[in-house]
Amino acid sequence: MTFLIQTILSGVALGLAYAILALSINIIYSTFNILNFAQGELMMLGGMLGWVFYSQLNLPYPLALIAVMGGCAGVGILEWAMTVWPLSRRHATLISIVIATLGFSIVIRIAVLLTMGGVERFARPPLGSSTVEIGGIHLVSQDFVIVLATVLLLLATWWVYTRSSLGLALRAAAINPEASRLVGINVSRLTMVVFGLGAATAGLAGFLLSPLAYASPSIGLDFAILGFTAAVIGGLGSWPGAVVGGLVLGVIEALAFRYVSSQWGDFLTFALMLTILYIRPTGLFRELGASSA
Amino acid sequence: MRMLSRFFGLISCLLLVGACNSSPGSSGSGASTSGDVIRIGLSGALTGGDAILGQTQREGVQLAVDEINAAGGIQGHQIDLITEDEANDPSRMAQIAQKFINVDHVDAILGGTNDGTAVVLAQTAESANVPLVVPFANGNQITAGRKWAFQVDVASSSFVQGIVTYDAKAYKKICITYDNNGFGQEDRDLAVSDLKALNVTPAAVVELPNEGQDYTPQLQQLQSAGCEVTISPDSGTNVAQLRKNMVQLGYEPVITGPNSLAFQSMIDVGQNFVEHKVFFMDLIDASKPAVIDFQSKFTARFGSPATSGFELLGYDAMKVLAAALEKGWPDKTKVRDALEGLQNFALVSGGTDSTLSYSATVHNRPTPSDLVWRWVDKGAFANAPIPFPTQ
Amino acid sequence: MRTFRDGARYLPAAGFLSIALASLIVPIASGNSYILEVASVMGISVILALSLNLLYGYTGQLSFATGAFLGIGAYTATILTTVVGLPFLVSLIPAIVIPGLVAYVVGLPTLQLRGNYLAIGTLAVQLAITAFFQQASSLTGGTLGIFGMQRPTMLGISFASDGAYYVLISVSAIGCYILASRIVSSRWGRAASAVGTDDIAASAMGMNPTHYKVMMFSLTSMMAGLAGALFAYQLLFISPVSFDINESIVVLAMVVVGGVRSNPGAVVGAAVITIVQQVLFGAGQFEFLLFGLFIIATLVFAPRGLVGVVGTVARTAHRLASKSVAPRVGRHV
Repeated sequence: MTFLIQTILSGVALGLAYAILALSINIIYSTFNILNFAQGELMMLGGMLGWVFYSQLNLPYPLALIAVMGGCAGVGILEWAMTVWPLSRRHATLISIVIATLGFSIVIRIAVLLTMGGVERFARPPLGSSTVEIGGIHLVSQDFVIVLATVLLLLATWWVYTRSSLGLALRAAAINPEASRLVGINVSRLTMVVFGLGAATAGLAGFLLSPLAYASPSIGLDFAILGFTAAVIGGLGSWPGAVVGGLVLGVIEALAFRYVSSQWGDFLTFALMLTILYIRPTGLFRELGASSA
Repeated sequence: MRMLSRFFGLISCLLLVGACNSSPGSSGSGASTSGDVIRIGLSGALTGGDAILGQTQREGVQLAVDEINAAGGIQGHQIDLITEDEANDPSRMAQIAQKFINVDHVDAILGGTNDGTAVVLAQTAESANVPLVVPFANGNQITAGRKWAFQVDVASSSFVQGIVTYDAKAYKKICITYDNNGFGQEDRDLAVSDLKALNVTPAAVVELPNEGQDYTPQLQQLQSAGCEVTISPDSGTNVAQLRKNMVQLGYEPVITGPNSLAFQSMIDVGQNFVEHKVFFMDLIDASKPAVIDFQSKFTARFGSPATSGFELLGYDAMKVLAAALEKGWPDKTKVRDALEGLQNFALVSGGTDSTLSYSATVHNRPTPSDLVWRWVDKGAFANAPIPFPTQ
Repeated sequence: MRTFRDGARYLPAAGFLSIALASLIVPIASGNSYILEVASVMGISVILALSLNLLYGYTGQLSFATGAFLGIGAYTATILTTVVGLPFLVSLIPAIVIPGLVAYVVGLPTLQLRGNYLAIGTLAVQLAITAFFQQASSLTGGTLGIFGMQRPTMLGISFASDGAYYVLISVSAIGCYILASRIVSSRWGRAASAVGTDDIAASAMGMNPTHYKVMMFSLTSMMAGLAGALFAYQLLFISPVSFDINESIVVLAMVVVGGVRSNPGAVVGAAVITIVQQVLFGAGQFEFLLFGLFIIATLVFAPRGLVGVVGTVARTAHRLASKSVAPRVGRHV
């Protein structure tokens, strides 16, 4: 029995990281209906910047955190400036914007490869690498960091969306961009902010996950797929959906690798994603905000 | 409309012109007369998942080229090394191979960092009658039945044999973990059949997904099978991650594997988790005088010593090719004959007294005794004590 | 007085013929194996780009699964040839049909999705099929791949040489271009295009959009399957890495850069991307960086692709040059 719980808990830790990534995808999607294919690379960037600031330059953890999220936000805004802004000004189709984000994801990946090298890097865990044993279940310190960070992030997101004027503007723009413009909301600048926030959140996910394993420049695509799967399971655009979707994905993956087959685990993940898309594309939770498809 | 048609006509001319003039900015591949320099094409994966292979290969080859050029070159001519990135893509490899042969007009080719691309390279070299020396791709299909391709690495079957021989003697419950790539799957199959020949069935055979973040589920499979040792044709970073999860779970079987584990990233990522716990067979014997000498030259050139046998294999491959070029250049057939006539050529890679001999029927290196057990000691790779210390 | 339009009737056919002949003859005449290699890659890419353009450019269905169907065609041809010993032409038939069947089955549910969901759905299809190639090692040779293909021999003529085999590729590419043009100008094709423009309006007019989408998905996957078989016989070695998501992205780039919704655009895109890769070989990782920037730049500055740019240039030049021609108002257009 402890075996089973151990398997499930290992899936939970990963699942929460996927959940944060899914949340970052939903932040952008729920407001503007744009699927940002570069979110996976932004998560990778968070891990790599974390290696630079925390493991190499040895900045204190809070400072490194700010640097990582700030750096990723900057890249997110750059992406907006290079892809979304010019294309929406030219009234390009949504699909064109999606393809452009794909192009930008390639740019991020190669830029990191060129500046930080192609080798995997050790990401120092802030609370050390010690293991804690509770009733036969073994946990690492980073597991607790991830849980804490997720809770804080969810609280922050809830507060921003429901209690702040930014959140009000985001919800307004999601429902009706034209009307929002009429009441004086600068939708263009709002898009920029949203891309920055989404990128920062994805970077946070990478920064939290990398101490469990390592920071590597080549896992961006894998992250993107996992993030989209989690978001779809929970419901594109829904924030509780992101969390549930991430947890479901993490746990199911762990169970599949342990009990079904170590070889076909990946295949099953994609089959799962397709099944959800066929049966209930809106996912487990109805999406809040922007209209579908 | 008219402009459109003309534009398309231009494209086909562009194809011809562009292809003829295509000589990308790698080290000096000019279309000069072939009397001046000896042109050697070097291909390796410099981007993508196997980028470390291309990089280590290039360093080893470059060291040899520098040495040879400083000593006067081959038959008095300097070597011009033309490097390309095959990026693990067989189709791209075919294009690069053709470019080497028909655009750069190379005298010989080195490279092919994985089995798939090495086979494509060997096919092309064979039909163009150009000598090819492959430093480390060690699959059987690369040189089998071919006249122009030669391998320098010990066959992977020898690596697996060496590992299985030791593990079967020292342990009862043996498991296999492997990487989801061609090399991992091939070694897995070799290990299973080698164990079978000894009447041993692996207690578990588990795939480690590439660049996974957490191997607890896979490790639990090993745990419930009661494994004492794993045979792990995996990447160093995957094994480092496996070690972390092992310590976390409090279940620590011994890890043994081939030289896919022999990369600095395993130590960087694994930190003290891999100290004294991971054993692998490699072609670098730190106690050998030729290796000590090599390391000081390598450090002087690149700033830090070579970490694994790969750099040594690159060096050896270039030296072997140079010896043949010295005898046969500029006649490619004579170079090939010289390669086949190689006898007892002293190598840096491998154990003491390891030499290489080719013949008309043997174009590779079937000598498992060349392999050396290594481990991580004080944060660096070193020769491992045999038998492994039990802890 | 002959107007521009009168003579123009013959120009597309003449232009097409000259290019087709040039692309067939020039590489073979050069006798240079490198040029033949590049031309072969280009020919196969043209087929892929044409297929994706029909699916995405005309029918509006963004698909990331091109690589997967290329792979199904390649593996089918290879397995049937190396294991069962089927001759080239015979092996082509299942190599074309099986991807089409798979596409039909998979497409039925997947193409009900729209927009972003469709993109994710085809992505999942691509990844699942790649995972299958890697894991089903008893069938596909796993990640190591399958060696041992031979160039075909038909009617006693050996196509083993690069030049001879290139004839097969070139003829197939030209054939696919003609097919694509026929489809686009056919009634069925125009209906599919209507679906691509606005499938809601199309269904309001009584059409069944899903039927056109699935049939186009199936048809274009068959083209990709043909490309896969040609690829297998050209390279003589196949492995999953040649059919993964990166391949799908490259083909998408060809369609976008050349010009969506344009068959000549697909050809131009395939040619340009292939040549760019050759020129940038030595640039190492920069090549891929420029590739990503290229995609973005095309979408932002030249959304109708290279053919759009050429068309604009041509129209501007024509307008500047023909200031003396009488205005077209009142002429029968």
